[in-house]
Amino acid sequence: MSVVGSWRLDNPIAVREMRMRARGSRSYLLLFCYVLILSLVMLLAYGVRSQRPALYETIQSSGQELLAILFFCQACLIAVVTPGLTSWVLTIEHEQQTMELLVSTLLRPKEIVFGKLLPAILLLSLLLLSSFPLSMLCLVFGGVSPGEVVARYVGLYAYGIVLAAAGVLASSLFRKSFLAAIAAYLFAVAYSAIPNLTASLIASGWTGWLYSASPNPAWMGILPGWATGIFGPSDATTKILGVRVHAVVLTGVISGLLAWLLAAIATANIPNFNEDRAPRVRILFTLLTVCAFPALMTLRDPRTTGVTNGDVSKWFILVSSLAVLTAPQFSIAARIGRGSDLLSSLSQTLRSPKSWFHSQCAGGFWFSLVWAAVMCVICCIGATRSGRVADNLTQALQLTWVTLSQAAASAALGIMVYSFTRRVVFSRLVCFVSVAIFWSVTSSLVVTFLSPSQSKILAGSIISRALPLLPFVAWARDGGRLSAAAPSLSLAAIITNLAATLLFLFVAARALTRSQRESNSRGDLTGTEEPYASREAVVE
Amino acid sequence: MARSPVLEVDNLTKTYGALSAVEHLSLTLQRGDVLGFVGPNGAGKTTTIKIAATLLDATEGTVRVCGVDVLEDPYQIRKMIGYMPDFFGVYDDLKVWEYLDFFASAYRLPPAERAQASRDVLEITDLAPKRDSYVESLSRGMKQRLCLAKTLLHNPELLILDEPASGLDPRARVEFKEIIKDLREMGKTILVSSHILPELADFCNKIAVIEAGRLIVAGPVRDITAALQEGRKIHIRVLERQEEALAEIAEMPGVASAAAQDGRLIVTYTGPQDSEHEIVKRLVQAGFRVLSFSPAEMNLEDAFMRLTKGIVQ
Repeated sequence: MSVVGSWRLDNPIAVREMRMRARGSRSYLLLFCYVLILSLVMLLAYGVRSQRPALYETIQSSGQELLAILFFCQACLIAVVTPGLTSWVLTIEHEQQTMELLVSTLLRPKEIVFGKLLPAILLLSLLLLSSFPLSMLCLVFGGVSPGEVVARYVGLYAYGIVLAAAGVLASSLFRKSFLAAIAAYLFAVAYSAIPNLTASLIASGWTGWLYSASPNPAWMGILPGWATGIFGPSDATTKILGVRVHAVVLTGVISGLLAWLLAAIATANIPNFNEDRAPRVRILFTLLTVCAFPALMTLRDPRTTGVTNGDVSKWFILVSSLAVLTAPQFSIAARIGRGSDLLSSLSQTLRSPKSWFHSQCAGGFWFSLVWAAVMCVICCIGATRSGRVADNLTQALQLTWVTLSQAAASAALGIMVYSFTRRVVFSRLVCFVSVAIFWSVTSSLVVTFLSPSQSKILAGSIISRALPLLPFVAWARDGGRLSAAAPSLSLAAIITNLAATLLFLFVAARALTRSQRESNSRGDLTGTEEPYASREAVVE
Repeated sequence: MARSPVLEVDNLTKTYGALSAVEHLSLTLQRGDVLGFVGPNGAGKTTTIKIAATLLDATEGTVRVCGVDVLEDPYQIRKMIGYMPDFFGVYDDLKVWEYLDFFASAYRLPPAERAQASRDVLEITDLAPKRDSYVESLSRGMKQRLCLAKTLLHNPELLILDEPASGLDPRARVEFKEIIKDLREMGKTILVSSHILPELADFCNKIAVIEAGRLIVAGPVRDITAALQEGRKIHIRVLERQEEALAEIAEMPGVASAAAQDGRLIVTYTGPQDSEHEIVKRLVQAGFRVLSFSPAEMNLEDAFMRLTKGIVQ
């Protein structure tokens, strides 16, 4: 069946969902409340403006203020409403025991996910459309161009679609609706707040700059807050690798890819034992990061000209953070091999690039390295574009090797955790949480207690490079200037990370051998299967 | 060229960690067969059925439907089978016709054919008068029939019904049986599971008994009951001289034991069924006046109890 066929609009699930939503009063009530709240907020804002006209320098600025308030309010409402629209759509099938009936038909998992997502997106469209008259009202006050209004709508729509896809993903991960709802709302909070704060911190050169009057347009395309135009103009453009790109285009492309990635992961979680959905997820992930990263690289310290060592360090901080967080997610898979097989399957899959995209531990290990290498190459290209090119490139090459060794150690960590637990989702969760906590705690400690004395910076450099789970905090602290001892420190870090990789793989192989021996003594033939009833959702 | 069996299970094994749900199970269903798949709860019936319905992968062995391996092309298999699970929900806020239209669409029936297909299956399952009712207003038995109706929508070669009559009241059970009999008359190949053997006796031509993941016996119903007749009991009543009659019978070949009880002689006979009359003949020739001779009927329930030992995994 063609891909187009899978995404057909007469999707039976979408038709059924829309029919059921149309029959209840909830959708209408939601629409009414949405418009009512926005109207009240606008009325209040207009009232305040009338009372205190001195606050506004010109009439035009009042139009801009009202539009900003309207869209900020809409963004808040969308963040509250959207997870609620989709976080139950798959769990309800489990709860009412209809999932088995669905998956035994000819519907593909991606059709099920699309059929669940489409009605939510249509309702979201309806909500946004319902606020259109209020946006037009802002135009009346002047100072706002129709293009800016459209740009803000595109940003908000993209934001909502990502949240809707995240809700579907959450509902595919859990069997209970309330757990899925909690996960979806946590994602909404994280997606709305963390990137904006991080963007602010990085853009300010770690000086605590928030809500600058002139944010980098590249961030506006990537981050929900900027994309909606709440914190700045939405019609800005930026130059990415020599090409001028409108922030709205960035928003559309990157949010679309992110939503697609989340939906693809949700699709992979729908029980269908014979289909390996990992390739689609990995290709989308690579595509998303390759598209988004050049935009992130345009973010530089505004006090300097050209690319500095500090800029290169920050890019690598992002790449290495992402690598240590995602590598275990790829390397944890139900197909792991047994004992010594693990090491031989690693060498076998290395020779078969196609297998890097498939759901198996060894393939995931190599995919993590390849992905990290691609991102490092992008950073290296960025480092050669301007500034002190030779210095930048030297630093980038060093950091590339350290990043690759970090990715390898993290992927090996994932394999080790899975070899003990034998539960895919649980292992992924353990790795994600432990890496995130360890990373943030140790980073905070380093940033907080490291004084800028040269010796402590060196100590910090050793810690941050040697520990596979730490990003390059010390480099950021150091302002990107490498000391004379840096190459040897990097070498020490690489050796440490490789030793950790080998250790993790060795421990994993031992654990697998032991469990295989136990299985054999019980007469168990496989030892790697999980029952359908208790089978966990596989996040690939 | 001979047509492939509709269902061919070959050396199927499914393990969950240390637990073997199914072990080296082999079964074959020819076109038009109605196989009763029987076993106590936890015997491995549902696991086998889920593998055949492409919802679960096998650890070892193969399952083929009309010659196609379920692991190789599950979507091709799903076109050929109609699967009704043991526990299922229905979309309560849809009308009966909407429910069927949804599944017809999910089975990729062309829009022009969906209405007719829905009408046909509603007729078969006696739900035509309920076409415009909401699903939530249907009784449990009707919901069960509605699920069967959706299973029939795409006119599958093989119907796989997992405990279809469980939880139904006696009337609904009888109605459901009648529908399955009708389907058998229509030439459908059906695999129907139950943990109650007599429930299947009316409409199955083959029986497979499974316990603790292992196939105990499989074959035509008649052959299985005949095989179980070995060592069967025969009740004989003679007018007088019971002790002498008992001695006479005990000497006969094929008689494992003979005893008097409540004025009857209870003989355990292991010889062939068509030589049972020799016992009467010998008694009459020896001058005994035989009042009655009745081989004890072994019903399917007795057979099931004898075959299975109540081992539950």
